Amino acid sequence: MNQPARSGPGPGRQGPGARTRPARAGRTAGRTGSLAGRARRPTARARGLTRHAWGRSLLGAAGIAGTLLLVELLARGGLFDEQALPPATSVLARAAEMAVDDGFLGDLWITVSAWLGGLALAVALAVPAGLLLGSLPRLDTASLAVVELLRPVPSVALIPLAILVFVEPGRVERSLVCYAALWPVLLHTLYGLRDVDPVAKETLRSFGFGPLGVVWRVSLPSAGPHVVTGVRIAASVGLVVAVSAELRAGGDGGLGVYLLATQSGGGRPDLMVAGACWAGALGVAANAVLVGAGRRLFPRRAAAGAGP
Amino acid sequence: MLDITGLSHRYEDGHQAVEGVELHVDRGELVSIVGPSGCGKSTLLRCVAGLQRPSAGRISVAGRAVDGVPDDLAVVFQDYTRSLFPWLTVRDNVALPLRRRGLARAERRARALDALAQVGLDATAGKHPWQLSGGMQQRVAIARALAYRPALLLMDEPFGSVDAQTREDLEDLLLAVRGGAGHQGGAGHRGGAGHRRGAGHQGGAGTTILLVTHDIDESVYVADRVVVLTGAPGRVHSDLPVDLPAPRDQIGTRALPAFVRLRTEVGRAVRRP
Repeated sequence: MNQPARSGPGPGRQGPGARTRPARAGRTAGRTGSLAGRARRPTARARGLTRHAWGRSLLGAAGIAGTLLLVELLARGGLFDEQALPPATSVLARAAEMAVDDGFLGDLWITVSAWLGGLALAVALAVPAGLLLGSLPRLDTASLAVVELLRPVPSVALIPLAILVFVEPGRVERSLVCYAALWPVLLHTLYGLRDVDPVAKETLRSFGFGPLGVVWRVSLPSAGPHVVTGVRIAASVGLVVAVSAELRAGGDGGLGVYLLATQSGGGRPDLMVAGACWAGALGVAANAVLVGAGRRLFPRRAAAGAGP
Repeated sequence: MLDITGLSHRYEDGHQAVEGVELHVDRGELVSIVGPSGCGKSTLLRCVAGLQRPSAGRISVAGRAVDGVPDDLAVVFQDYTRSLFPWLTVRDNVALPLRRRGLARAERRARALDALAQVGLDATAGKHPWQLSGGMQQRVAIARALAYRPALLLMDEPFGSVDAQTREDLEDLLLAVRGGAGHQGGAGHRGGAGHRRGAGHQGGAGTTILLVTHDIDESVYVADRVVVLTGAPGRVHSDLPVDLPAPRDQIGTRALPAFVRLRTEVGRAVRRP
């Protein structure tokens, strides 16, 4: 069915299986093709869908709808306690109500501002630090070692210390987000600077640009896609830390505080899950914004399909 | 314009690239440098560009000793894919070095478009380098050097990574901009920018060009002089003036007895150990 399309020189070299069972020749060809070290070849129809953006969106939407349907059926079917697994429809309904609930929006805003504030501070610190360390020979190797040593310390483990030092919940949250976001941004900036093409740097040097000019006009834009990747990772880590800090340190508001409140009085699982969905939506939105920014700033990466 | 005396360079791994190179190039000359592979042609060029400090010897450009990158210099590298900046458009790639000339944004852009027109690429100004073919990318790199109007232009196997046809076109382009840039892209037809041109060299016929190549025919075809280096460590083996008539063309010039004699001579010199 789909085999004539790619029966170029391939089938001639196929094993005997392909010849004796012509009905399955298409599939066999596909398999031996990938065995021969070629790129993965999905079937023609799947290719048709995944090639187009709308096709991919369609497949994605189908996956989400299917999962929601499954959750709904499991919850309504009585297989699980409704307390443990609230049906998808009621969670979505709660989530929609929350979108117009000023109290919840206030909590959401507190989380978002602490998260973005900490993230922005981390970027403002880590990118210049990375540029400085990365431009000085040998220092970048030394600093990479330090970063690799400090990075595995889970920021959540520092919550008690942060509470002790910063006391005020907003500052605790911001500083923890900043600490957590610092490492991925710094690390990716350093790696990005290592990747800068020496010929590109020499080109600008030969036109009489000094070290600062080269850093600003070549190293930074060249490392840019790496930096954006670092910020993306930092954003997702930062969100985890922000909500964790609120859950532990409390304060007068925030997504974590809201979720804690839904525990009281027997608990409202539908609200908990809906709140968690909003936290997830924040992460998705941040990622989408950063991917979009990366594509706009560094179109070659996007054209090469390597999206930053 | 360029004086090299007793230039030697030994790399950290002990490889002696060049040894005791002596070379003098007059203002406005186009000198090609050929030699067997690994004879230190590129090392020589990098030392002149100030990108590499030689272990011994003296280089001076326009009477000033080279210590760091000399003023008024442009380099065209062989590897255009690495030398062009993928995050900038073609026009911005060409315009970027002009910041060193202290030109305003509009002037930089105008001059970049001028240079792109010279290499026949003004239509692609808004594209990114990676959207162009290899030959076009190298033309962008050449346009960038032309727009800068350097007093000294260094070219390190500039046509080494393009196909034969494009190579011939680029050689002719080099001859054309040398012969005609003085009145083509040069002074004055863009009124207002005229008086600022003093900020840079006037380009075209006045530019001194050092062209490293491994192609013997090319070294003769484009140059006023061919300098042959010996095998590693590189020394000047011979220095041959090219006395071919002025309007050169790929078919006619290459068929001239003088051309054939010269390329034979250069070829022998390169092969001799």
